[in-house]
Amino acid sequence: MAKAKYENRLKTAIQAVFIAAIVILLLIPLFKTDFITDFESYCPFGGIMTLGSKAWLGSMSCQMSETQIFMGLALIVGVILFGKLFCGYICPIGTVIEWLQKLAVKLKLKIITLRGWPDRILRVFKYAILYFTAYYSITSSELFCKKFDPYYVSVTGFGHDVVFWWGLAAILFVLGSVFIRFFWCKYLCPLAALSNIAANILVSAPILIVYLIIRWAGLDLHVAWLLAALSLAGAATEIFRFKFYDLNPFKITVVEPTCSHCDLCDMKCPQGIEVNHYEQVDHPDCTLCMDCVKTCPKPGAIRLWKWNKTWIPPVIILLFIALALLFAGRVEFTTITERWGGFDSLQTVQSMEISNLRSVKCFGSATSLQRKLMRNRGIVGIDAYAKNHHVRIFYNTEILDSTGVKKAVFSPSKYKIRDPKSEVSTISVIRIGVEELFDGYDNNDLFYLLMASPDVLHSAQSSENL
Amino acid sequence: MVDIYYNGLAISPEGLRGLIDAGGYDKPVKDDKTERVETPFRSEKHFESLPDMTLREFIMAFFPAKDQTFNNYKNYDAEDLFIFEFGMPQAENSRMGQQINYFVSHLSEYNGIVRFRTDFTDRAVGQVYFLPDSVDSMMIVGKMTAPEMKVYLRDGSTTNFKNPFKMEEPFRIYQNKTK
Repeated sequence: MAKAKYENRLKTAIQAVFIAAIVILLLIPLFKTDFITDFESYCPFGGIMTLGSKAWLGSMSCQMSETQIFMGLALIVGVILFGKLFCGYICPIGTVIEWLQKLAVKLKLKIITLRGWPDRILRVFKYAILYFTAYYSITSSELFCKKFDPYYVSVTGFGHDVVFWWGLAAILFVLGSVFIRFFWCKYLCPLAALSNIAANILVSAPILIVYLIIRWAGLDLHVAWLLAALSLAGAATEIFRFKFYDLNPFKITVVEPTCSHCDLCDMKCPQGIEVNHYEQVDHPDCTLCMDCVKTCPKPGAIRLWKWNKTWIPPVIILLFIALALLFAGRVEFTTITERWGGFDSLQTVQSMEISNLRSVKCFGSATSLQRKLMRNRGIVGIDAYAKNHHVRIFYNTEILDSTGVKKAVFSPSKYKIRDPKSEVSTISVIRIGVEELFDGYDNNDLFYLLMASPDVLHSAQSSENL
Repeated sequence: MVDIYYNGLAISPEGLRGLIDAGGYDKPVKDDKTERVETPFRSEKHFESLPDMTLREFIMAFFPAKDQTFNNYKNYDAEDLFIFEFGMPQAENSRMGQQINYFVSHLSEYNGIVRFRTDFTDRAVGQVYFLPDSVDSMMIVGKMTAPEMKVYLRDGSTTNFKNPFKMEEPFRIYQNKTK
């Protein structure tokens, strides 16, 4: 049997760049102590979950922003039009498993590839995990996946959102995926299930459309039914048909009779797909990684659809990421949009914008501010943009003026800065207005500013006379 | 609005406005390093000078007083209770609030101790309200100077914490007059 001699350097380079980026994010806090790494900044799965909760509850999940949402949309559109490129090129879990598998091969360890019905039946689990993850995330605006996501578990060192035993099990499954080929990705990964539902667009889209029509017609059909229908349809298609009802023409194509069936492509496929048994590889696990094309010793025997250009899939996925980041920088969704106090019937509503309100940093803190504002008569609504710490507050001008709104937002506090020196017998006091002073973060900053003078003893921030 | 208490002989209101309007400060972080924090504050030109305070008024105004009753305090008449008063310099520190809660839990082991409060008289003091028939001053002193505080948890169990409080003489014992 011939020996594989080609390397897929472009794929390896892209994978390495993303892994390196994560490692750098892990290392930065060692040198820059105030740097808080947000490992979820670009998570497409979190983006889709938060898009779901935005549509269902009107609120974004905590710490999720437009970046994750557009990354998620890029993933979905990319899967529909081109295939599961994210899994093959970007996903750090997939990369780690693939690299460890390569190491295992070098160490002459055996990697088992499940085939036949065991392989197919196990695939149902990832849809079940997706269903429960999506249900709890969408109906609570909290990312349920953080309880077990092996990526999140690893980079946060079992962070406070992680359920220890779930996280440990996920890590063990990922490590086990080195020996049972891509066990995590094929059988457990909810993002893989989500990608497959997107790939199965000719079934998934009608389900989504029917659900939207039912909702539009006034029937209050819970989102759980939509999730169940999509998950069941995806699982059934993958298990029984083993290929998707898709739109994507970009598939690995084996050209007869050029192909000599040397099996090098099968050996090189990280997913264990028997490539040369297909005319067009419509296997649900194909990620267009191009290893098979790169490995093939006969030019033109295996190609991407009609092309021999192996750089197309990686360039497309990078292009999609670039577009997602571009859109994310230009669009901002509200973290919460809430109205109350007869907002719709009021004729005298005005809005007031407050920027740099750092205490508004996620869904929870935005909701906390909303609850605080609701205790003030005359305030009737809020739009909060957690990403930029910006709020728009709606108030009834017959009851309240802009000063009243500022008072409602203001968080009073008292700080003892230092004890008076023993020789000081009289303490002077001034009351002064300070603009842009609103929340606890601002109060803290003012404390440090005043601390610069050894003669300032105490500050008490209040909304009095605002 | 911000009320700023300061030594008027050393810094002027204009000086204070300069601090507020500085635009940023160097915040101490780990390993004696600092980081620059930008601030957007702008002080208003007009300010109000409030009446000066004596040092004692200042300390009393910001003394973080505590007052907790327990062991069926409300069942006793005021004249049934005596007060054991001692100097408690740490009571001036608002960050000791949780430790004082532990201290109260520690004292409550004796059923004859029914209230604890802190106050600023001519100094920061702690006042233990007790029933002289059940507890004597030696028992109170022994409890207060124990190296560890026995703290009762919500589930009924107990745990021990180091006792951080120092009692300063003179001690005073007198009958309670008001409730």
